[in-house]
Amino acid sequence: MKRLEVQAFGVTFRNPILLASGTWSPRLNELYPLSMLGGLVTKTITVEPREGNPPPRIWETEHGVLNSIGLENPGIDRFIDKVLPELEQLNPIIIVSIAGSKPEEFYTLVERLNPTNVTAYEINVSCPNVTRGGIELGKDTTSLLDIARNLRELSHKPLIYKLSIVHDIDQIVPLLTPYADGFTLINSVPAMAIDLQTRRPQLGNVTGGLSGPSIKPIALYAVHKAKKLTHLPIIGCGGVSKLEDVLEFITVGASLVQVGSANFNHPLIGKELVEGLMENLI
Amino acid sequence: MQYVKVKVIKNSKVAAQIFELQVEVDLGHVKPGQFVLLYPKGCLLPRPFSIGDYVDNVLTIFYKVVGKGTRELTKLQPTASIYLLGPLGNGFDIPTHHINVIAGGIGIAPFFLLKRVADDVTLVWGVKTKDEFFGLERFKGWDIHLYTEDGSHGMQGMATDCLNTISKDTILACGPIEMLNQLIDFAISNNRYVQVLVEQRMGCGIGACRGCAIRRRAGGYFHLCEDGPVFDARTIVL
Ligand SMILES: Cc1cc2nc3c(=O)[nH]c(=O)nc-3n(C[C@H](O)[C@H](O)[C@H](O)COP(=O)(O)OP(=O)(O)OC[C@H]3O[C@@H](n4cnc5c(N)ncnc54)[C@H](O)[C@@H]3O)c2cc1C
Ligand SMILES: Cc1cc2nc3c(=O)[nH]c(=O)nc-3n(C[C@H](O)[C@H](O)[C@H](O)COP(=O)(O)O)c2cc1C
Ligand code: FES
Repeated sequence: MKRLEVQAFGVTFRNPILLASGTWSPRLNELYPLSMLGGLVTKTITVEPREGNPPPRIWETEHGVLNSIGLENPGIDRFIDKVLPELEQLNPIIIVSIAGSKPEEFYTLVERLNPTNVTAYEINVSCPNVTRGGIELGKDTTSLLDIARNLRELSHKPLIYKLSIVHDIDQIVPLLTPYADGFTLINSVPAMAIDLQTRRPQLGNVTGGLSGPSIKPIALYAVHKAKKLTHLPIIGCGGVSKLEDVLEFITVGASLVQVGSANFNHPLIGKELVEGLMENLI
Repeated sequence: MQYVKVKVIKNSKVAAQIFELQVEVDLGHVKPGQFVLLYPKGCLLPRPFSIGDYVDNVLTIFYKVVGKGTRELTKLQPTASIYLLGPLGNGFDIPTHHINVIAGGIGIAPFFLLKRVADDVTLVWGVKTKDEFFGLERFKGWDIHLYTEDGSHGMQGMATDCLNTISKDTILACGPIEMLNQLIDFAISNNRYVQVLVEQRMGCGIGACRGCAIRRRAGGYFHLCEDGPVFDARTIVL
């Protein structure tokens, strides 16, 4: 069992399988013990509650899942009071995903979460579904660098930056490396789908983010590229749905992987990947 | 709630574009209006279906073929298997006195199970044309009123035509969005308790994806898989 352990960001993960932000709920624990996973990344939390985007919010394309949830979340107060205590029962490794539309919001979130037992922060600067503080923030390197410097000062926990394929990885990864503990690559890819009958977009928000099998080659490319630009650990994310996918991400240099929309397709996927890795070792 | 691979017992056409799928599964206690997710081959997202009927560990789903996932379901042969997650959702709140049921098309599906727990029911079922009716014999004992839009069977018109004359008792309803919108207007203007089973695209069924948002009349959203699929018609906007 020990051989599946991964050390990254000063944290020991019992295995490299994490569940990605926005793609699992504590109810999965009714189907298998989530404690057997390497860790859990929470839905992105903001300072204020957000109600999310107008429906329809989700659509299946030929080889991917398109979503425009819009960072719906209960806000930091309710997260700390109500959500976190339940999550802490599920797995010792809880990585909290955070986002803000202003730099101060990131600081508030980290200050509020520092006294809790959460393991690390995943800084989401890559959400394709919000107008401010999402993917655009990751493109504004001056603001991003400023936030990263301040967060380095404020944070008592590892800082993992979650990036998008539309970001300039060549530029951002070296820029953030001095202030970061790791990177997650990638968030869902900006995309859209059309209903030809109505000639309208399939999503209420017009555009969304694509995830699932169709983005795996893009995510592998992003990890491969980032690996050459930083010595920090990388979490691979995008289209992981079978054991081979995990091994492919590890081959291009990922220390850990996150499983996202595959949880919708087969809720036992996290468990089966951990079991698959164990068998693969024998 | 459980996630299991279930065995297909039967999968056959019962009306125009409508199939009856029976699988073997122990769901424990279920309520009319609850649903399950099925995971058709080749689909990335599961598909929600009302629990049609459930007795002696045999679950019946009535599905209408509308797209990729339901087309895939038609290929299931007896002894084949498919993953199922459920039971999910709140189900109807079933009064002990007389109930009015209004169903449009395949919206009849959740009411076969109601037949097992309620006798004093007036059923109003409307379809476009008579080949869309199925399973009528199962409702024997209820007071049944049938409508077809083309007048090919029963009264000509829509199920909602009954609203002028329907008794004051609770209404349970399921059907296409136009029908549900009429019921929402009716419930608000008459301040009536109408329980509507609504549909929305879903990603997970367990509150994870936040994809199944249904607009709340008072602002913000409900989530179909956590707060529904049955709502007080006065509280939502479709
Ligand atoms: C709680 C609930 C109960 C339902 N009960 C029944 C039932 O008993 N019998 C029945 O025939 N149908 C029922 N439906 C509708 C059924 O889920 C859809 O017809 C089905 O998902 C269509 O899948 P498809 O791949 O064939 O269609 P496609 O149009 O190819 O599907 C594409 C995507 O849209 C989603 N989608 C399409 N139509 C609907 C819809 N009306 N509601 C929700 N998602 C949709 C699909 O799940 C899929 O993700 C129910 C829906 C809900 C939410
Ligand atoms: C419904 C849904 C909701 C998501 N919500 C978030 C979120 O809140 N924060 C975030 O950083 N990523 C979010 N993601 C992106 C995933 O965490 C992941 O990066 C992406 O889906 C790619 O991985 P996958 O192909 O394995 O799904 C969401 C994805 C989906 C499908
Ligand atoms: S279907 Fe995913 S939250 Fe309701």
